[in-house]
Amino acid sequence: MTTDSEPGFSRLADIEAPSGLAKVVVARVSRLAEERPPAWLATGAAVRVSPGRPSASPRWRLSDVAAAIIALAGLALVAVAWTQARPDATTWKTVFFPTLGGPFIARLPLALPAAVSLGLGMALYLAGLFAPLREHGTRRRG
Amino acid sequence: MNGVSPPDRERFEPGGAATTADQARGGDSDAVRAVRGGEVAAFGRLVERYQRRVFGLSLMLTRDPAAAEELAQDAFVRAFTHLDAYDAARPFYPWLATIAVRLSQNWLTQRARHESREGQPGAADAEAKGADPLTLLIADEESRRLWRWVAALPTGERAAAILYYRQELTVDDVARALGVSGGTVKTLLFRARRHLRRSVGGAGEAGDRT
Repeated sequence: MTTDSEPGFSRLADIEAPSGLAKVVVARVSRLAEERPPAWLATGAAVRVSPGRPSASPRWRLSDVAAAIIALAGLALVAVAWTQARPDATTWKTVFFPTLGGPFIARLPLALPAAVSLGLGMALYLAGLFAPLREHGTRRRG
Repeated sequence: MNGVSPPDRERFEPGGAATTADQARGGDSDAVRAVRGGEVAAFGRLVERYQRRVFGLSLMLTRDPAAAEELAQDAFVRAFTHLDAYDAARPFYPWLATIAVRLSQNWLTQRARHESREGQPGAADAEAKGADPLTLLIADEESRRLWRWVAALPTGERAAAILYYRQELTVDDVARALGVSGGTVKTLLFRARRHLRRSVGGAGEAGDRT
């Protein structure tokens, strides 16, 4: 037995792990991945590689592109209608809503198709934009 | 603080470790990337690579082979479920060791609570009765004696010494694993060395007397 004054860790033999340890762990992990997959595995999205770094780049779907096109078309129509009609007081309709607790007055632009198109497009675009956030929230709650 | 300089690992672990560590780190990154990409089987490579170290660490902390096996399994499973929290820019093993240390600490706390409530004998009593778990796991007598000296260290010193000297973690990584400051780790290592020197010296004197 040596009596050197250092700990001598390099002389320590490795302790062997139990023979079936790796197999058991792999089996547990595989079962877990099938039955209760962790959130990062279920999404298949890029995972966080460093604290504070953004996790995943936004993905564009076909519906997002369609919504963007509709919104742009609506915007173009509004612009054209605005410049050509040169709106003044006569180009707006005044509507009364007595059910809202008084003479509520709303003024709608005459270029209604353009406004509808713009509104619909923007709504679809925003719905697509925030869809990943909604999915993430649902998954966390679930 | 007692003005301890950082322990010189080279005195204990000479040469060649850096290249191996770099290769392991590259392999770890590939395996982690594959697992994150959905290839769950790639996690088996990490288990194969680190099962011995994680089991050894858990065993040294708990001094209970059955608990160490269970805790090693749990450490790997927990690493898998929280793989999104692993920073791929850092080496994999210190992160895994941190999980293993925390699980072992929890186990020790629960056992101490259970023993104080039930009044059941612990591992120390089992060792006193001659049921040394290391006897079954280490065939070589000298290694077994060395391991026994390490196992006899107080928990904090034992964990710091194993992680730093045997498993080659940096002081910062050991500090992170134990949840203490770097200064505390250096103090723990200093005390562990002092205790081990006494143990080794005592054994030498006993050998000379016989």
